[in-house]
Amino acid sequence: MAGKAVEVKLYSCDGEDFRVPSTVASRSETVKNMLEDTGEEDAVPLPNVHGRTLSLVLDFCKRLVQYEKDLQDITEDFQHGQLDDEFNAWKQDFLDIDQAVLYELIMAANFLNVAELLDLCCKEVARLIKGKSPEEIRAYFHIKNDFTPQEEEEVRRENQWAFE
Amino acid sequence: MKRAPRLRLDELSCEAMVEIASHLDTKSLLTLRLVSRHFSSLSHLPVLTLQWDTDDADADASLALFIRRHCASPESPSVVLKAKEFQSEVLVRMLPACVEGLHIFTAAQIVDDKAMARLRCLKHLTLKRRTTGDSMAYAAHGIMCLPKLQKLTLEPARQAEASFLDACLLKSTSLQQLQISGVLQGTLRCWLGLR
Repeated sequence: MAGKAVEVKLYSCDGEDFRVPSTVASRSETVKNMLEDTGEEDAVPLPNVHGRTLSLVLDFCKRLVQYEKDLQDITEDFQHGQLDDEFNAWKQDFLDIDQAVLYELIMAANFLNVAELLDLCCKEVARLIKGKSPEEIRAYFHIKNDFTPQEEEEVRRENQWAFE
Repeated sequence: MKRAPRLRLDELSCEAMVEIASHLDTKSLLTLRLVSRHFSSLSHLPVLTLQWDTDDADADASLALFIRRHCASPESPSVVLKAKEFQSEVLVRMLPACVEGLHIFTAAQIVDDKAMARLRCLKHLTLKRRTTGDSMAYAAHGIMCLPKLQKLTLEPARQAEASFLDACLLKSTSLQQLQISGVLQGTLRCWLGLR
């Protein structure tokens, strides 16, 4: 009989505890390194990550681990595409979050070093940027235009080749 | 009044911005540079990818300026050029000699000895979609002229020829690493003398 997966305890900056299999927690390189240093018995403090964000990060890691396990278990080629479709649909639902949460997720994925999550979130931000004019990007992301007219003209001139 | 939740794009870490920029096409990347001062420094990314699908090489003084500025930063000496067709003289005119890393996605003409001689600081070179034996001969000749080339990546090396690989490895005094993807088994065996 297979042994029960080792669980590790993580706690967020606002004191929320999470118990997850070490295989899930270790999708974060940061956590993995800490577990290697301190052992899996000690709780891992994550002072830069709020509970609500950590919960999302762990949801992603769990789904990623499940996807990889499912990939190993498939016996037919067509199942590969099916699993990809399911995972992609899940990721699309996962990203149905507001901008503030997306920002927190990027910061957390960066700090926790979860490459797949950082990649997913950054792709989403890139998607939000694509096709917008500078004015639309400013309005969408609430960014102040701090160029002087001369500076803006200079940057426009440098970039002109791409817009002709 | 409570502020609307927002993604503080201009407060993201440099690493995250680099990651985001890597998913943007050139036009979107350059548009982002026009948003604020914070993003105007986006030309100084570790690797700059330019997807340049125009044949009008003469109209690109501003592109040349942009690339030069990008490469002027010690942190960002690499350029990825994605173009349909690139003549070597365009490369020579556009790329500053300080470029250390170059990925070329294009046809054969780019890699002649004149262009390569210009890139005397090049340490890493990736050649993609090489097509004919001629291009490989050019590339081999050019690569021999690169005094600092340490790593050569061929992606894919569908047409890789033993003579080309010989030229790269035997005649370059600086090459330390050769990375080949998609090389034909027979070619590799031939090159290694394992017939």
